[in-house]
Amino acid sequence: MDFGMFLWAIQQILHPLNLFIIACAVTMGIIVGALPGLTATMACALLVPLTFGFPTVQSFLSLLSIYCGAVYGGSVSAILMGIPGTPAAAATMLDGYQLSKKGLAGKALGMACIASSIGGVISAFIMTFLSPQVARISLLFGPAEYFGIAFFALSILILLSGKSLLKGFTTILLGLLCTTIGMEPLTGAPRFTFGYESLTAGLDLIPVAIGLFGFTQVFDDVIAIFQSTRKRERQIIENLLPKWHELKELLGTILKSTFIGTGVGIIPGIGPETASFLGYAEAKRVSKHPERFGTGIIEGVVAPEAGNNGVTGGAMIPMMTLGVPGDAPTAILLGGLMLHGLPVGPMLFRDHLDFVYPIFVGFIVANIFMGIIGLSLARFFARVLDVQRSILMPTICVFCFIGAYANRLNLMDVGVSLFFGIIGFFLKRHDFPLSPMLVAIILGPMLEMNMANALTIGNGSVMVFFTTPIGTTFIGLSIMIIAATVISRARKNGG
Amino acid sequence: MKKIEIFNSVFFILLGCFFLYLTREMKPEYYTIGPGFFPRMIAGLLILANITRLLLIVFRIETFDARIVYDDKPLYAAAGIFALYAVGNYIIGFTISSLAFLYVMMDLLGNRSLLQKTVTPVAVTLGVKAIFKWVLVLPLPAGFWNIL
Repeated sequence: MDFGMFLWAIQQILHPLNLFIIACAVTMGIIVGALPGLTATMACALLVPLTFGFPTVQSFLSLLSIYCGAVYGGSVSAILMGIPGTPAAAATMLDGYQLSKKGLAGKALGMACIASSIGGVISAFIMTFLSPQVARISLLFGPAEYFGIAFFALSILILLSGKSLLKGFTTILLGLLCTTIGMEPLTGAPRFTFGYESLTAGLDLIPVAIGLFGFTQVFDDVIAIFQSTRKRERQIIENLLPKWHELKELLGTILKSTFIGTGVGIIPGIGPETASFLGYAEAKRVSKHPERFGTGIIEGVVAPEAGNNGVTGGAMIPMMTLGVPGDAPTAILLGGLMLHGLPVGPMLFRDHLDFVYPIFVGFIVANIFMGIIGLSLARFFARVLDVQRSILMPTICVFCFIGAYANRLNLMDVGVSLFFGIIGFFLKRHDFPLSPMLVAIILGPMLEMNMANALTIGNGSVMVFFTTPIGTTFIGLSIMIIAATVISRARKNGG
Repeated sequence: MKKIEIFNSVFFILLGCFFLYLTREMKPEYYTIGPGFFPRMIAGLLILANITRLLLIVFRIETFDARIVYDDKPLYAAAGIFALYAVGNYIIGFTISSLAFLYVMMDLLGNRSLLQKTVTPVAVTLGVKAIFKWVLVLPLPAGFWNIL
C-alpha cells in the first residue's frame, strides 16, 4: 500500500468534475436498480457504450458508481411494492415490504440505504487495503470447495424454513428441480424442455423472482382489495435517519453481514443474491426473536442490504488483482477496463497505479454518495405508496410484466413469471416458504456443475469432497447446522 | 386441513415420480455422471421428504394452524386478465394492450373516477415507454402489425 499514491488519488477524486460524475452515475444506478427486471449487470452493460468517450478513470468510476447504486436500488421496489428490483433484493423484500404495509416504508428505505452504504464503504476499504493478499485465497478454490460452499449456503436456508422444516426442504428441492430445466452444465444435453426451444437456455432468474415474489404479492393484494381485508396505512416519511441508539443496536448485524458479503464477493461466481440471504439467515439465527423475522423488523432489512452491498467491494478484488470477475456486473466492468486498453491482473498493479488508486478512492466515495443520494430520494420514493391501491396495483402489474420481459426481451419469460406467480401464491397459502426456493434456483447450477466436475475428477467417488480442507470444513459445518436445527425443532415439538 | 396437507404431500411425491420417469433415458456418458444424475437425486429426495411428511401427518406428529377460507375468484380473474394482457402484447403490442389492461384493472379494483381511469393508463404507459424505449433503448413488444 503506497500512502503517497493514496493521498494523491484522494486529491484527484475530490475534483468537482469527478464528484459530479460519481453523483450522476450513482443516481442513475439507483433508478435503474429500482426498476423491476433491470439488474446491476444490465445497468452496467447499458451504460458501457455511453462512458466509452470518457477518460479511463472517469469512465470506470461512472461504471463503478452505477454498479453500487443499482445494487442498492433493487431494494427500493422490494420495500415499496414487494417486487425485488434485482434478485439480490429478494431477501430485503421479506421484511421491507412488511414494514411498508405498517406505514414504515420511509424508515425501511432509510435504513436499507444506510446499511448499503456502510456495507459498500467497508468492502471498498477491504478492497483497497487487502486486495492482493485476499485474491490469492480465492485461487485455492476448486470444484470440491465450490460444491462445499453451495451446500453450506443451501443448508443455511433451512433456517428460513418457517414452521415446518420438511416444507422448507421441499421448496429447496423444488428450486433445485427448476434449475435442471435446460442444458446440463457439463455435456450441454437438453433436459425437461418439453419441446420448447426457449426452455433450452433454462429458466431465467429474474422472471422467476418476479413471479415468486411480485405476482404472488399482486394476487395477494388483489384478493385483499376485493375482500377489504387490508387496511391502507399512511406512510410515515419523517425521521428517515435512525436514532443513534437504533443504529448502535444494528451495527453488529450490519458489520457481520458486510463481512459475509465481502467474503462471498471475493469467491468468483457466487454473487450478491446468495450473500443477502446468507446475511439474512445469520441475522435470524443470532437474533433473540427469530420468530419476528418476516413480519417486518428492521434487522431483516439491514442484514441483506449490508450483505449485498458488501459483495461489491469483494467482487472487485479478484477482478482487479487476477482478472477474474467476482460476479456478473464485475465481468462487464472488466470488459469496460479492456475496452480502454488496460491490462488486467497483476500487471494492472505493476504498471497502472495512477489508475488503480483513484479507482479505490472513487469506490469509497461512490458508496458514501450512495448513502447521501439514497436518503434524499427515499422521501420521494416512499410517497409512491400513498397512491390509491386501485391505481398502484395495475401499475405494479405493468412493471412486473416489463421486468419479466426486459432481461431477455422474451415474451415466454412473462409466461414463466405468471406460472411461478400462481405456483408461489399456492405455496405461500399452504405455508411453504418461498425464499428458500429462489435461493435454491440461484445456487442449483453451481451445486450441480461443481458436483459433476468433482465426481468426474474423483472417478465417481464421493470421497473427493473430503480431500481438501476448505471443502471438508464447509460440508462439516453444513452437516452441523442441519443436525442442530433438526434436533432443536424436534425438542421444541416434543416439548 | 389435514386433507389439504395430505393432498400436497402426495402431489409432491407424484411430481418427484414424474421427474424420475423423465430421467429414465438419461444415461452417463464420456466418463461424466450424466445429465440424469442430479435431477434423479433431487427427485428422489423430494419423494423421500414428502413420504416422511405424509407419515408425520398421518401419525399426527406434524400439526397445523387453523386455515382461513378464501374466495379465490379475484385471483383467477386477475391471473386471467394478466394472461390476456401478455397475449395482447404479443398481438397488438405494448402500448394499446397496456392502456386497455390498466383501464380494466382499475375498474375491477373499484376505481370509479373516469378522469383517473383515463389519465393513469396514458401516463403509466407513456412513462414506461419513455424509460425503456427512448432512454434505455430497449424494444418493447410491438405486436403483429407494429402499430404505436
